[in-house]
Amino acid sequence: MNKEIISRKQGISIAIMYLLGSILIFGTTEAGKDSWLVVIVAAIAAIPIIFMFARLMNLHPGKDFFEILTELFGKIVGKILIFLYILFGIHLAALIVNNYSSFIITSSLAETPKYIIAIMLVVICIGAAKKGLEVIGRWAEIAVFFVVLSITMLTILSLPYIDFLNIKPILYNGWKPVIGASFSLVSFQFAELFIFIFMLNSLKSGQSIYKVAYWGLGVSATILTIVFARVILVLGEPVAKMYYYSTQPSTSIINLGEFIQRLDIINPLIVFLNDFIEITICLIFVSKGLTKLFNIREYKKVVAPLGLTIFVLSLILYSSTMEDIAWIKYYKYYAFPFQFVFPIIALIVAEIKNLINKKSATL
Amino acid sequence: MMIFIVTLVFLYFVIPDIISMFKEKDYGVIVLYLSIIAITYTLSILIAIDVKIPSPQPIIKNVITMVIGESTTE
Repeated sequence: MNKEIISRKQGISIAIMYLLGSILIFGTTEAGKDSWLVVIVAAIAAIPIIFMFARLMNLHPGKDFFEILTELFGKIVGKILIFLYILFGIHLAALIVNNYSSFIITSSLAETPKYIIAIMLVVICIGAAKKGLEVIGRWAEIAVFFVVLSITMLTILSLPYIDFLNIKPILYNGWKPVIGASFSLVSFQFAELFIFIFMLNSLKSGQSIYKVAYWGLGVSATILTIVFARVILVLGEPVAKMYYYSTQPSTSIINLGEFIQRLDIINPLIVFLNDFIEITICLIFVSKGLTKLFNIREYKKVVAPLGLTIFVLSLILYSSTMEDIAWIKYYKYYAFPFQFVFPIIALIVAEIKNLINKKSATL
Repeated sequence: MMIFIVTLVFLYFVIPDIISMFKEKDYGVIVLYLSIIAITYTLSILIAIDVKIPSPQPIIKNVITMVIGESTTE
């Protein structure tokens, strides 16, 4: 199997788009007008978590996560964990496809059947995953500029509609809702980066996994803070809470000189580009997991069936957007073992093994 | 309509993949590949004919509620 290599710049571009993902469409959190503060707190909380993922990869240079699991836990336990992570990855990708399909139907194409949007997205992701991480990295290097530029443009054009009174008083309800929402945001978005970090054995030699992860976190957290602040400043909390996807009305309000208007069409495009990256990375992750499980040489052979599995699962997950939103409060508990428990245990075992190896090397 | 589109998409991916795997004599992978495809295609046809497929979400929610407790998820 040819090893795929991506540069640090490509890794950072992928990380930024991966972290922006589908959270952009929501625009607010349960903390209401303090949602911008939630992003900052969540990003700070994510720093040690991402360090944990990167450290685990650094202790095993050249190996992906699944190889590390079998090395640390043995064949049987390692394969059980690989199987669980495959299920988690498929479920996560299906959630993203479902979110995107619901968003498109709710915001623009109300008469379009959900399966059409889902299958179009999944087909593109399968095609990209078959091309490999290198192609995705090269594409992300260009696409990230469009995403960042579009968000910047929308923010600048929103300036005439901003009312700073909408964000005051800051922390009126105290820190509790902010901390609670931050925990959700960490597990729902920032900690999901583990899927990409665990594939960073593809990074060019000599390049730092920490730099890729932290630059990705820093830039995406900055963008998310700006977007969440913009939504509240433009709409105000009562209006923003009326919508499931409050980013849309915050951009549809832009109407400058009767000429620059209907810019809400840009949001689905931005979200599509980010979700495309997120789903493709998840798809490559689960494909690599399946190859380790069944000793298959090339992960690209199993991309199509896994991608189609994601498509089918996305159609059966929820019957309504309300169920989708209700799931968010369970997600942080569901993802907790995969994002924290197993990686922490793996890191502890890896550090102990590393210490033992160092001691026996010096003796 | 969904059956037609889904079948087209499945064939679009399956035919070239199976041909290349046959050429490489990767029979084990073919079995795995076709097993997954068979399950997902069957499920997609069932969805297309409006058969309600149970979602795994309620099971996961019940497990979480059992482990963590109901008040924590409110």
